Amino acid sequence: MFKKILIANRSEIAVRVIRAARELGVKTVAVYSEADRESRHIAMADEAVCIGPGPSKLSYLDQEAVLSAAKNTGADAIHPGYGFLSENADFSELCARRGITFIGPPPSASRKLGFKSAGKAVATMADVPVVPGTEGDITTDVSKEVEAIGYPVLIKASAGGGGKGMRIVRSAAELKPQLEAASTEAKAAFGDGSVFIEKLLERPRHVEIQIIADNHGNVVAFPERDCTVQRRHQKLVEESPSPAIRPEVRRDMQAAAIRLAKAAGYQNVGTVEFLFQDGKFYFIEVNARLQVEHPVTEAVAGVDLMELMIRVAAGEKLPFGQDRASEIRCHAIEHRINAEDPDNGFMPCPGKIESIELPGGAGVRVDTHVYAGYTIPSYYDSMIAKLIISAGDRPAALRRSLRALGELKITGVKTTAGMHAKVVAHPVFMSGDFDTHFIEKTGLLDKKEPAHV
Amino acid sequence: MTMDASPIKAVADWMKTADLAEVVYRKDGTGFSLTALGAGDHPTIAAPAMPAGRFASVASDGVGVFQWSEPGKARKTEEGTEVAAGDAVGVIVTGSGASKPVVSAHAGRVAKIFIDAGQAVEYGQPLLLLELR
Repeated sequence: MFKKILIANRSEIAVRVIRAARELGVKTVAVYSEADRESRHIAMADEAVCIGPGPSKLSYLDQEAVLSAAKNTGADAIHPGYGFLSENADFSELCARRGITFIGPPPSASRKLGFKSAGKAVATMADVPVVPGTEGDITTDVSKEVEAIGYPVLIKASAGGGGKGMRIVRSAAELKPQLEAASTEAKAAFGDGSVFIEKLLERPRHVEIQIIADNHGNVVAFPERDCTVQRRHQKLVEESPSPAIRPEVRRDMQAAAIRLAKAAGYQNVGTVEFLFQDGKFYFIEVNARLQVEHPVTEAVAGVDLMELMIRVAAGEKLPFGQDRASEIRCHAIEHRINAEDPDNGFMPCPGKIESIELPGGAGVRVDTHVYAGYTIPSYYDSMIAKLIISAGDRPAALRRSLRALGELKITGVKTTAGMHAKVVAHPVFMSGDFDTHFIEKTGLLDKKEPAHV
Repeated sequence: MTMDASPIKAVADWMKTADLAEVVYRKDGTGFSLTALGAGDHPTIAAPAMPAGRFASVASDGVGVFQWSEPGKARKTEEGTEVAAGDAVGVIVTGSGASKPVVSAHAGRVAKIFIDAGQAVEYGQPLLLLELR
């Protein structure tokens, strides 16, 4: 096991890593930017190093600053969290060269799968169904190829996620300008303008399989997470198991995810993302990191993914096999609470949290780095807390979600908590029969005139 | 409409005690302005409200290990030595072995040194204090 882990991240995920490390008896080093001096992860870690000014390019993305902090503090492992350097194969390679273990997939596996178009090639090899699309990154005129796939199509950035660089194209005339716009956006967001095209499924669900692989050839796949409720390609609510997946489809998806991981020589945690429509699933990409929504799986399967990921990075064998990983012990839902203004186009609203009351009680977990008096900096994403709700079945979990969201009280900044309650209470969400256009189709987040009572 | 002159005297008396060049007084739609005698040459606000600090620190702008100079070169910075703006007062050696100079933004005399050679430093850490010239 490691002696000291440096966390190359901030916010709730840094807190999450520190908690797991402490339970393992491993010391921790927090790194932070000047804008994050107040973040709770700094106080919680055994040591803290300021690595740069507010903009993440000059701090959390500064590989040399992170590695120098690791050297100065004698850390023997780096946990990258999600975002920032988490899926940067060059960084994980650099860690290895400096004799520091990168807690995550090895560079070879993330190179094979981390880039979406590369991942698709491996999937095809491993007999995992994929969405029809262009082969590899687009470098030449693809109008004929796209014609064959059939409009509408979706342009995606090879290097990233989170909706950046994504464009829907409905006709041949739009293709060229949209390709250019997507490439520019991808270049700005990820430093890599590579894009590719896929057929657009019109009413899919977004369903993903969490995997973990040790360095001894063992891979297990957990029950799926359903992240169908999205707004502008950003996940809002994640739940597990999916109300739309039957046990035999689940088994097929898990088997497909394991085949893919083995084909890529994958190690550590990863998420195999699928679109699901009309009883069929299509591989879209692998997220070579521990994702924001990992606690949903932790609740459903009754495992500690963060601890497992640290253990397998340290060379330990997975302590259980597929039978144990397949167990569904409850129904779980995650709500990402963001400091955003729902009445103003979900504009991030950084500012000072005057007061905060967190929900609690049975089946309620809160992962957060904020506290009363904390000022949310404007440099980073606006997520301030995650609520992870678990209960015996879906209806009970939905009721518990509403109860917990009602208990959450934050003053000083506007949050998306009310929006989550609207989603959970919506009859279409309750029915379980919806697709990724749920928010648009229900008009749930459209501005409404105040109701007259 | 007549105006009560009593506030004018009160304000004029008060102005003599205060360091003010001009005062404008308005009440209920009427008012007056007073300019202090000899105020033709208005005192400009050249000096800031608070005098500038006599001292300024030179901080690390990176993470690494501090050294007084590149290997094989002599240490130039000591307490009492003079530093010009733009001078390198030391170097930060990063984990890769690369080094970058720590540059002083100010000119002054080194009043106090907080750092030893070989010490780990973080971003923003004060390394030395200059008495400004």
